[in-house]
Amino acid sequence: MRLTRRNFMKAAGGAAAFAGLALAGCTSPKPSASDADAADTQTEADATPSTPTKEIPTGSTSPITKVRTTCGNCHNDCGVIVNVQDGVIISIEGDPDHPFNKGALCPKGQAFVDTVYSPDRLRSPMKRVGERGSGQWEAISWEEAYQFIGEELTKIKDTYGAQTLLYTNGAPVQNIVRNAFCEFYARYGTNNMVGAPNLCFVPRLVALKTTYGFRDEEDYNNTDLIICWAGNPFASLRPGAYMCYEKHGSASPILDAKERGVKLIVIDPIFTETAAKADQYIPIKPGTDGALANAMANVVLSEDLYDHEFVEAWCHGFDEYRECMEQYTPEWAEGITGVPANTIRELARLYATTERAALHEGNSLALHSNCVQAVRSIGCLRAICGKLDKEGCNCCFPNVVGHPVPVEAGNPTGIKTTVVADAVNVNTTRYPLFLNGLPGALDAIETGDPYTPRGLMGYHTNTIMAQGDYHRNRDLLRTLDFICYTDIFMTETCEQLADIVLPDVTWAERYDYRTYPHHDGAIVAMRQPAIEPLYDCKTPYAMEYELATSMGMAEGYPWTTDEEFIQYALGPSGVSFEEYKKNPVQLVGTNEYKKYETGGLRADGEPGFDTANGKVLLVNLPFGKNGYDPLPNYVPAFGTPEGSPELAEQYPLIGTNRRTVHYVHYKYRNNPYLRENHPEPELSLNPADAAERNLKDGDAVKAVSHRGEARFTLRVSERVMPGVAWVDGGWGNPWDEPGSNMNALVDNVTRDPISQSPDISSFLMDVVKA
Amino acid sequence: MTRYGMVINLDRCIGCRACSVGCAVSRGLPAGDRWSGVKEYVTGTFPNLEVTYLPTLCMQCENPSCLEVCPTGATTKGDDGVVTVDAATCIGCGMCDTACPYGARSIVNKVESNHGADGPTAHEEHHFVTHVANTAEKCTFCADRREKGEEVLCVKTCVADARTFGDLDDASSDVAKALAAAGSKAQVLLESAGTSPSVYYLYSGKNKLDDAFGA
Repeated sequence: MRLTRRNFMKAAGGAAAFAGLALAGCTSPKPSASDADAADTQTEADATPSTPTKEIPTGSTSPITKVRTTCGNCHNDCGVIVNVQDGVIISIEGDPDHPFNKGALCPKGQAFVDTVYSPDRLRSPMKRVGERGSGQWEAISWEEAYQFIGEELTKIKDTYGAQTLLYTNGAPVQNIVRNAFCEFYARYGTNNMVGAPNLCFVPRLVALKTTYGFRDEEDYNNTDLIICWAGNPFASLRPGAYMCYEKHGSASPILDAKERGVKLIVIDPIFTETAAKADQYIPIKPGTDGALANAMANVVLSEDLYDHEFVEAWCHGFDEYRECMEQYTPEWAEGITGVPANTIRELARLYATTERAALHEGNSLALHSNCVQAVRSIGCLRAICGKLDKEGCNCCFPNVVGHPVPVEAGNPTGIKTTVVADAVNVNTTRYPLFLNGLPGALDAIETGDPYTPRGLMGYHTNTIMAQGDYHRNRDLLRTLDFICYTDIFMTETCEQLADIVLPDVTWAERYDYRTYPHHDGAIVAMRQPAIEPLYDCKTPYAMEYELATSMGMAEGYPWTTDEEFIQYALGPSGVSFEEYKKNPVQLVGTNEYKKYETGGLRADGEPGFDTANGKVLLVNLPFGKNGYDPLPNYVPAFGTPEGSPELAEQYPLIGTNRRTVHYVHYKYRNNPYLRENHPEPELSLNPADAAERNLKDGDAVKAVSHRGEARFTLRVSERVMPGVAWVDGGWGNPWDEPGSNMNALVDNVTRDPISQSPDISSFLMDVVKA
Repeated sequence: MTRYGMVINLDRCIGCRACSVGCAVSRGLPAGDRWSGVKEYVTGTFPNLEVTYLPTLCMQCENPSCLEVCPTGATTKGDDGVVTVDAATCIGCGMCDTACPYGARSIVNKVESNHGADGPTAHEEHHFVTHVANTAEKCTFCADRREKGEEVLCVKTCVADARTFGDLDDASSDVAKALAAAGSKAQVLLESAGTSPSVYYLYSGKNKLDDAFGA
């Protein structure tokens, strides 16, 4: 059928409504009127099918090399196939043979190919030539870089002592984060790894390890109930557990359970992507989770629903704990949390009486100034209900090489080192159970107690952005004598702080490894380079060894090349490098349920939990010893009206951090394939709160707090609890929206007394028109 | 006869866009050229809400409105039911784009970097060779991948395992079984348009899917 433009319009008349709507919703550029007229003329003029044809190149016919490796974008570390043709990565796909993702891969994993070739990549070492933060840099050679760093580090060591050098390894969330330069720092003489663990899983680790000796994973495949508490696995794509994927993809464990008829309950102030799939959604006021958990324990105890056998055999301090929980009635908790007392009762009964019940505690629980005790509350609740290391519950899946305890040799952060630094960690006095947080080190810079830090080496972490209190972080760190960062981009932290920036490679250009718990043992996955380092970038192993050599510290180094490093790191797994190269995903060890009965939880092989007395510590002995409350009493978070009533009069909204599926922390807003899905920093308010402020959807707004301000585009959304602002975190790098850093609003002086965690998920604020 | 089709289970879709981002980046599609998307609906009031994610792509219609309007014959429907555009004869006039009720087509007027003036990147340069200005582009159910024996990318990469692809006319295929099992929960988009799509949606929620197209 041959159509002219005119009779096309006639023929399409019946579908005009659709056509018009399609136009409205379509983003592709439309042909101009002249283009359409040209087409018109052409088709009317040609009675025979002599339509002009274009030359269509077929593209490269070179063979495609498929490199099996491990994604490095987030903690999921999915198996990937990197497709390389003519020396260029042409795409990244999920590895069908990987036991977890089974061929599936999220948007970030696939779009990472654009990050590898990003125009923003650093290409050579950059030395600051203007004032700190002036953005003036000159490219220098590696030799010059090593010489400069060596001189500065030697000056610090000679003048103030090696321990005054801080180092911080961060966001790329693979084992290298903990391992980069560790041997170097140990030889230099500092153990001051201080960074973002206070924002990550470590506050939960501290709460749970001191309670029952492990941080658990949910046995989704065998459970009959899922409670997802303050986590949003359908946006993070981290279900909290690695094992048990019946179908492929990181969202599948929970979705498969739902298809089996398992009830999914979501507890969150926001109607999240995960709440959208829940059978029951329980809204809760930000920062009040500990109150809810204690009230659930109150119900379980007062209604005699607890697991008598488990408590008698395995719990320490039950009577004191029970007495402590008596005050936390559901009626009391209703006033704190906003969750009706009857809902609390029903939830507690359902959890206690469902034999196989998994309770996932999400990372938002680590972002409140009362977080450790709140997680303790949840851990104790699991214990008295007998839900530990049992089928369908919260299990201790086996650990192996480097993750992180077994290969430690005095280094708190990862791989074994040949020497142990003779140094006093800067957090020893303030945070004895949490040595690796940045906020405590900032206090030391401010006060000189226990000593004044003088230098900072950062590996792939956006230090001043990630923590609350952007301005305080920046201003205190700027007082240091010397700052060096290594990254793939010139981040806000590099720009504002660094004296020198070293160009790192991406995970597609180097070796690394990752270990995961698995229901049959443990997975060790090797990461291997798909392409050579681009530009004048170097792998962290090369940088570390060359810097050590340049400073005369390389004698007897346990490895000298990238290949030697990875063999050294993977050695304890008992699988050879050759075997890893053939198959980078290896299953090692074994696993079983109720390891506390068989001795599988303790290094000494004795039955019991990995705690001082082998019991679950309802009364926490390490906490008591270090001056913390040994019972999980509820204390209001600073960033809530209950915790700061006067501040709340001026700043009536509670801000809570939003993370979206297309970004990881502060990364990837310069990746257009991801950015187009969430192009602007957004702040969402319930319609009632927006109307009260005369604000409408799409308005440019300014969020204000007692610490600072930040700009966003307003979304008016029913997904947000009244009184709460759902605020995009992670914006504010030079390539996106420098005035939109949510952490400029967050107080980092008030923080969890044990884990140094600020109120990133509960901070007082207000919103005004920008 | 083979009639390729897809069933997308909206009860599993979490709206992550692994499908649409993967489609664009693995093909190195130029700026503005997108073959796959995800729409989002929220209805109700807090806390009683219904949120639906609706992945979109070419519906490979049995009666494709894009084919009827193509002035050069560049758009054809294959024996397997897949609608394709012959880039050599397409003049990029955009009539198909106007006619498609699903907004499934992109007109590439210029092959431009997703990084604007900072691009194209090495990855884009590699792929841009095969994209030609003044051409309509669209989803082909990954004809190029299927030729090589590979799975359709959006099906393979879905982290929620929400998609099934195959021959709708083969009762033993996964897609035919998924459609049969879906029963009354299966629906097509804009049924009244008479296009007879080969993409079916399995959905138990209450939102009206056609609302995404203003219908």
